[in-house]
Amino acid sequence: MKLIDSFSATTRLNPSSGYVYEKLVPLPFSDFIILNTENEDQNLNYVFWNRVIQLITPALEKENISIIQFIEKKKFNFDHIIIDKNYSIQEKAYLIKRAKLLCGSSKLYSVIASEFGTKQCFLKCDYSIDNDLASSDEIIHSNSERKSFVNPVGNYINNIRPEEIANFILKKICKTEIEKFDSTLAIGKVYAIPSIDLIPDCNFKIPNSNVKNEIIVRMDYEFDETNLQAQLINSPCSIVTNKSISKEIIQKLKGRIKKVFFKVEKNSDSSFLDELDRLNINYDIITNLSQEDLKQEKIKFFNHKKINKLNLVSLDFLQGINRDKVYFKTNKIIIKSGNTFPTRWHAKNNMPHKDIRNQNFKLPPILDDSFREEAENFYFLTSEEI
Amino acid sequence: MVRKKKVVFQSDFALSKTGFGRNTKAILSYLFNTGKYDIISISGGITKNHPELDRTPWKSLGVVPVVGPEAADCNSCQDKTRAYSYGVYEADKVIKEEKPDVYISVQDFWGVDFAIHKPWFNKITSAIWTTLDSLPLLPNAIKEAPNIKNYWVWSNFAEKEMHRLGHNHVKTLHGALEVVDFKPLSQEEKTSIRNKNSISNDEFIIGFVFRNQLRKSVPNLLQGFKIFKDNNKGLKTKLLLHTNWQEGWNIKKLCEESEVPLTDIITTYICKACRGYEIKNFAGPELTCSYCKTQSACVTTGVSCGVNEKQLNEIYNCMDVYCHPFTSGGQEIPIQEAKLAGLITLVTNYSCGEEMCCEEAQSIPLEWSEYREFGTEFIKASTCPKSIARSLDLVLKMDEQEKIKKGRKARKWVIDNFSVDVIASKIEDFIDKAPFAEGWDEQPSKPLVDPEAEIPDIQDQSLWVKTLYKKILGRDIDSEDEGFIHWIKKLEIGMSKETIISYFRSTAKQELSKFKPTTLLDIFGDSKSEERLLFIINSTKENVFLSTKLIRTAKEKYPDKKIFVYTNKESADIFYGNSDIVDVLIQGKEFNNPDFLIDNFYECYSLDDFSIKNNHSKYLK
Repeated sequence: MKLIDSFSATTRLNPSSGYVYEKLVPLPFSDFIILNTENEDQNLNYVFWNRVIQLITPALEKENISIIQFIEKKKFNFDHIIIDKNYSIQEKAYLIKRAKLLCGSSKLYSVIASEFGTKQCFLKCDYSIDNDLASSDEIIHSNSERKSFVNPVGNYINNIRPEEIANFILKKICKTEIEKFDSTLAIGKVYAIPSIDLIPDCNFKIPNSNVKNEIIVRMDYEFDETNLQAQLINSPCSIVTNKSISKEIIQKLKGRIKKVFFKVEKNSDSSFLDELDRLNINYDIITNLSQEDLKQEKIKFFNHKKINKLNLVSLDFLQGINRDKVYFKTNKIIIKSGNTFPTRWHAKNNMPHKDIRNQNFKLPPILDDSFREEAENFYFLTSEEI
Repeated sequence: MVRKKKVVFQSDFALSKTGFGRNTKAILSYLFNTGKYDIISISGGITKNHPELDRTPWKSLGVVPVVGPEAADCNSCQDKTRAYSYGVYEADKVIKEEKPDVYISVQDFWGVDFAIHKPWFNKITSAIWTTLDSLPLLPNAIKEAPNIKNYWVWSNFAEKEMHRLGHNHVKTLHGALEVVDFKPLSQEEKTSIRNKNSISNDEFIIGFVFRNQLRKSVPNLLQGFKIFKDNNKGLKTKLLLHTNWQEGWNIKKLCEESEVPLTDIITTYICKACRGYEIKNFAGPELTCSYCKTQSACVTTGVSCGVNEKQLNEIYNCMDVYCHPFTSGGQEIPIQEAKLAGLITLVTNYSCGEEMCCEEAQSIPLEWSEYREFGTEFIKASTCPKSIARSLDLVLKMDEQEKIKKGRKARKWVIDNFSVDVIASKIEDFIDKAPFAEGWDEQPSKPLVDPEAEIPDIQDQSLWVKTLYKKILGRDIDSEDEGFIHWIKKLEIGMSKETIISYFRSTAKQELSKFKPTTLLDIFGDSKSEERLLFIINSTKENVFLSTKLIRTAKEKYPDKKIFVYTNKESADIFYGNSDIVDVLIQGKEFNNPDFLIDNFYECYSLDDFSIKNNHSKYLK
């Protein structure tokens, strides 16, 4: 039974029309949809809005439909009209009434849209009480996991694939046929950050570019202080190391070191961090060690900083799907021996690629811990219909 | 496998820069390295789930709530904030979950006394390790002494007084120091540090490391410094105040009053960005860092942003003499640190300072006069500025070899009496002797505290005292219990039963006094009760919006009635501009009273009770 019917049964009052006062909000356009991209309740927040917006924008532009975002504070990097928490519910009601469609997870906005007869794509994620008014063809349910799709947060709403939402929106409001989208499988946590990992058997000068790259010298893969020194002279870098680096280099080039990531292994020596402290060089401590091994190392490092555990991405989402149709994109470039590679596996097998950031890559034949460690940098998709 | 003994240690977080925090770090590092114990630190002063908690190799649990009703309660008044910060509300939960064998609580007395009457306190081996710094001793600390089997104080000043009062079980256990961090540096190193901070070798630097608070006698020190300067015209001397200038004493103003130019005062700045430090004249609250050039990043040192131990040792090594005038103090760790760095220390000869002024400690005692603190009537010391000046003179004229000799003796005294190895080994011994706690699972779930419990008139004094414990405080005690012995003694010297019962009842009331929410009903204007309808809906905004569908129907059904809504603050704005409604009322416990509703309204629709709280929509199909 819906809550409104329960209200009615217990009060013996038949529901009439709901009311919320509408307050004018001037707009520079007439046709628009509303995306409710952020809510106060974190359980209602969807993390794949960027992908949804990228997919729907070309079709919306063709039909001259704008986007308004309802948010709390966080702005997505799009040129949309933003309605934040400083706007009253009366102003939001005004906009909901005039929108071509409302898409989001807020029950309040959804019931107001239902009251006004505004089309909606309601991302239903709160099943504790049946108090929405949307009809079944206006709802995307989130209480079941999608096949081969990684929910990075764990709350219901992020069970929904971004392509589902994009398709739903476009079907509701576009007159033209819509294209088929490849399906998202998983997005790594640092996919959005462009970075370059240098395995220091060489060094390089970065050409002028609009992209701000994080350059990281991987001394933990190849401990070569000569190339480290040369690279630091070429460009400011961060360094990942599991051993102490020569005091002379660190001291001489400390202004070029953005950050050091010290990788703790069994029987690590913390004295290098004393040196970094003395020189006021910023650092973090990372590890792959198991909890038990780590406990023994912590006593040496707890005076310095917290030891952060490196994440090995679970690739379980690949089970039961055709791996030949899976591909990934990356914003991280690995440089080794003067060539560029998308993964360490490609580097190891000397399979260089150019224009890494604009290509799709097939999965390597062996998905080992090394690949899982760098998978946080990848966006996995499939062309398979799932 | 042999079970490790489980120890819950409640004090400041190990990585906080307070005296208690540093003690936690020293003690727990030592205990962890023995490999013998499972250690849980209830970490005072730090928020729950703070990422820093994960840094320690033992389990550290934060205590200050940041979300939910607990956070609101924490912020409701200063006393609550303080209690949360000490971990008062966390201890029960942790003890229940962890079921420790040993509990040690380390804090000022008002931060530990909550634990004494907890049902688990005497069930396991527990110790209170506290600072008591003034005479007469804190009344509650004396009153509770019989109830604390293992009662440790940071200074023998408090031990002496407790023994005088008959509480001979109270022992001194100093706060522990990591002595390796502090040592005299070579002359070359000292010169290098001075050069780095633009301090020449011929400048006589008088240092004071302190938290800028009332009990640190900054005005007295400035006056003493002024006299010393006047007596030694031509001497290049500066006062190094390693403290925070944004809290406590207004040092600038005091300098003006004492006619001490600010150029004679140097202080430590720490950079929040690169963590480098500089010693220089005070030039404002936020300066650009000379090393990393970050603007507004350099601040004077404090608890939240301070130098590390290595840097602090360098700062001590910049000084020629250390002067620590104070009104009273629990241990005053900087005095011991200065001694470890080989400095001659000038110390007010009161409170923990008495111990610092014993012969082996090699301090120069500072004379003081007594005053009483308003409100507490505690004896406090006002250090004599002339004594400061005379003592500084003594050090200035002291032979260099004599200084080194005295410095070495003082350092040895600190190592012998305060080093972590000495202090923590005593705690190790205490834990090892403690039995494994048993019977956690049998514990009935109840705090049996009952301030109003009826006490039968029992002639047998032992039985009568045990009945008080059982019925009022909910505790079973045996005849060995310190508290039991204490009260029997009191009865023997003629204390009335009424006085003792009254004490027990007030203790029980303190236990129970927690939350008492109160709200007020507002008025309904001049309308009569038969003209009024009420909708009650204390729910989410969407449910409140749904209620407007019924309110509209009610208005159509009763066009002449005045409709009031009782809802919560968060959802009230849904009704803004709704002409069906006369007024929206927020909070008020009267609305839970059916008689009130019957008396004041023609009809009342409680949507919460019938629909939302009962989850009708979910279960009625």
